[in-house]
Amino acid sequence: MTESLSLDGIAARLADIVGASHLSSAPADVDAYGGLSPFAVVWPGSPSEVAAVLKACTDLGVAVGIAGGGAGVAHHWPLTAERPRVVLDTLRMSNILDVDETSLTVLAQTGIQVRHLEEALRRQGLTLGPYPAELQLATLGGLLAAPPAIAHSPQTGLFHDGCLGLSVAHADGSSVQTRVAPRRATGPDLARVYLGSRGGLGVITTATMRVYRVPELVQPIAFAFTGLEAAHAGARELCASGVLPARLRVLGEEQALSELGDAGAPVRAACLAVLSGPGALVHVQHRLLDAILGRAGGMELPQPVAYRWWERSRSPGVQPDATPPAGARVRHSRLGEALASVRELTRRRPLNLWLDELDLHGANLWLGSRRAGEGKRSLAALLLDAGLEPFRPAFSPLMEELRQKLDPRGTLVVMES
Amino acid sequence: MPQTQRYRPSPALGSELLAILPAERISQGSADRLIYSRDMWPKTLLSVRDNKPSVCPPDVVVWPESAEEIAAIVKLCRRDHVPLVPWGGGSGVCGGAMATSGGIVLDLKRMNRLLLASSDDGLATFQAGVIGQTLEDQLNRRGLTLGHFPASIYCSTLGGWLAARSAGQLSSKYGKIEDMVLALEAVLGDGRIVRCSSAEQPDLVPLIVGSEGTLAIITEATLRVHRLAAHRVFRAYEVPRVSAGCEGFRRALQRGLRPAVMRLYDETDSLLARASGQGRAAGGQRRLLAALGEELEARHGERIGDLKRLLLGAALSRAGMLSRLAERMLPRLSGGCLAIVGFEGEPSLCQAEVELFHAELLGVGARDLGEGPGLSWYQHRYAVSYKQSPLYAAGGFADTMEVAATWERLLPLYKSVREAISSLAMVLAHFSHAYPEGCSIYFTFAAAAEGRAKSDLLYDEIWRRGLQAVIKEGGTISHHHGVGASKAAYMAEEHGPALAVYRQLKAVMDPDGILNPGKMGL
Repeated sequence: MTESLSLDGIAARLADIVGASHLSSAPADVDAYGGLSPFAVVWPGSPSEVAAVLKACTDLGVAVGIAGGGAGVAHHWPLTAERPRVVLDTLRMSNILDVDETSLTVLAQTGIQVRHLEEALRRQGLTLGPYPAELQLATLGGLLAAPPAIAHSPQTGLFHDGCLGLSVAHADGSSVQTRVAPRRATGPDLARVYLGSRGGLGVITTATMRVYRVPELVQPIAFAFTGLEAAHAGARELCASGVLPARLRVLGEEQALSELGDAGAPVRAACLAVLSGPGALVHVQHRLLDAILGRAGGMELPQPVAYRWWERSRSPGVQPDATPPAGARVRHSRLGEALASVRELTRRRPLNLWLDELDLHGANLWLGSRRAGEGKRSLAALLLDAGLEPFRPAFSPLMEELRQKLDPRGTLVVMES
Repeated sequence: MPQTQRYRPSPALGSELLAILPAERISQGSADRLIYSRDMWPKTLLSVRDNKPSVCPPDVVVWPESAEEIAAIVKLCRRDHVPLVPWGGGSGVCGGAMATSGGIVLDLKRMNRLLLASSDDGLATFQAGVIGQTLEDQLNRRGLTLGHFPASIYCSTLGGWLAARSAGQLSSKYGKIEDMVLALEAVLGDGRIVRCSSAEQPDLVPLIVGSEGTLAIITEATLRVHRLAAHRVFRAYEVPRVSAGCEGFRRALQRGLRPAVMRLYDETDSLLARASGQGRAAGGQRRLLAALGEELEARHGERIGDLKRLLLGAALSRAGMLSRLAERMLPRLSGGCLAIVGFEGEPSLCQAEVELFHAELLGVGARDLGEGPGLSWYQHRYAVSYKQSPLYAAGGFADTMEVAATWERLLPLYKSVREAISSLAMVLAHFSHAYPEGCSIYFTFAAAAEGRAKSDLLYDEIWRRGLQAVIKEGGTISHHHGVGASKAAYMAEEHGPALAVYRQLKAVMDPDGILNPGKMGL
């Protein structure tokens, strides 16, 4: 049964749970979460407080949007009914609870910013993995609840695949914790229900992540090609060969200029790779990479060019594009055709084009623009015109049914970005 | 055997199925019902030995050829609340494919086609009923491999692998089956045919994979495939103790090395391997048999078969004593633990990894045994599990318990399980399926008791003690055999409150509870 309370009454009930100093209805605070237009923001300090807030909101008919450190509620899916809204911000839940240096895992609360988690791990000679620097500003919870397409490394896979276990609070106040094991065969992988669920099934409150030792050697390498197709063919062969770079990107001419600057020679297309691991292994991989990319028609660029790119790309502040890029997943066998379609459509409209997140099967094709007013939506429309399917979060009907089981009153707001 | 309330078949069931399938793909014959009455759960062999071979006979066996036919059968079953049990190769060892409530067994082996193979995109799509070796052969002809080589590869299917989260012998390089699946087609318990892809968020694929036919019937899967390896190399080592071997494995994996094969046999298993001579390549149960009885046969020939069985039975009935004796003798008898590693792929990468791995193992006190034991293992890698009958005929039984934990918890778990069951059974173990964050332990146990009732009690007690020890130490009760009927009672302890979410999943995907009832604690 839904209780009926005034907004002040709701705020008082929530303040009883998190403490008055951890709830605010001040415009300066709630305006930061403008997309959802909440009347209050709460900052719970523990998984049990999260569960209690969710239960109270369900009882009171209040919708809850999840945010991590002020980010995450810019866009959301339509609410099922008009009702008061609060934002639950996990900002205070930023503790590292355990680092298991034997098993190479870290257990952390999900409000922690990835940059802070990474800094703490680095002090112990560990790292979350060779993921793009852009992820550093997100929270751990944000990356797990709404994994961005760029959270990938050919060497370590998707960032959220490194999640070995998690705790979740549901809208009814119940909580579950999945058992941490390297692999198991005791039913469906429940953790995967929540990964990518955008806060719609529950709030991920803690996560156990796989971590890695800081690599003994890191070797960035840059190759120039006469065309994007040849660079892609080289990168594809690399993925199939068993050489697994920590990072691998294929850039069109404009993007190469943007990321490499003056390479000392004209670069029509580039393939950038970062090898990492034990020195002896990296040296062998480097020789193989040279041979593979050379056979594809590539020419290695001077080492300083590669190192300069690598240093720049490791800074989370670097934003090479004026507007967020739009991307689509394309299988290798269709990439040639996709590139031709995109090129045809952009002949009179110079855009930056690159391939990333390459694996055995395909790559993400990205379009970016440095022109003012070139919005992400127009880039996405261009991908659609080229016969590609831009990334778009959507629940399958089955997942929607599960959502209704776990949250029948629709308390949890599904976040879009 | 765990039997839930048995379904009473409607007299019209057979004729209604005839509206969906031709008569030759429907059977209510006693021979078929007998054959499909049990899978390879070792406990069912106790029934067979007791002259009760028809353990859980289904009422009907059907052989569909398409997802649409399966959907029509599901809808029929839903209307009349008929239990429906998917069947692949029947090679499961947990009773997961047994019709414990009767009803229909749905054998998918006629759905065995390769639908697509793309070397460019590194993927292949197969129907779920294809036998493992057939799948691999078809890929090999195209210069590809799945990289999935379970010991049951000749008698298990793709659908079975996916349903129970199977692991192959090269899992350290290629992953488990759940790491290889990119997309699925499945029929839900309400008759809907769904397609899902791992590119979607949230990802439905990991919910259907591992659900052992309780949420959906997998009909088709798209898998990650690789080029056939150009080069393969093995090395073997003798390490002083299990702990040293685990340490060497862990260090190597955490440096980023990815051997295809990693196997570490504990002191008991290694000792029996040496005693049996031929046993290094074979599985734990074969080694156990060899050590306990087959030497007699080798020395005296077939004439003393009865005597051999008597001796074997006598030895197993004192398995706990034998186990304790072995524990005390091991420090004097043991030559340490056997470790086998194998690499495959591009030759220069293999060589670099071999050298790095070698250095790691020498660092924990290992002695190089060359490539012989590894090659021998590779040649006999599927020679397991087919020779249990002498042990059962001797009045004993054997089974395997494959569990997993993070490295931090692994050795305490190993010790706890051994302590928990070694007073009841002979127990040996090997460590395989290793990952940077942990490893699986494969315990093999054998024991005997007088008569069926006592054997059942002893068998259950060994499992109870073993799995309780696993849960207490923070491990998982199954790494790759699944839950089925045999571990269903432990699901609540394994998952705690999360089991309620599984039940909600069940309510969404199989609202009438007709899919494989009585399994997985659902």
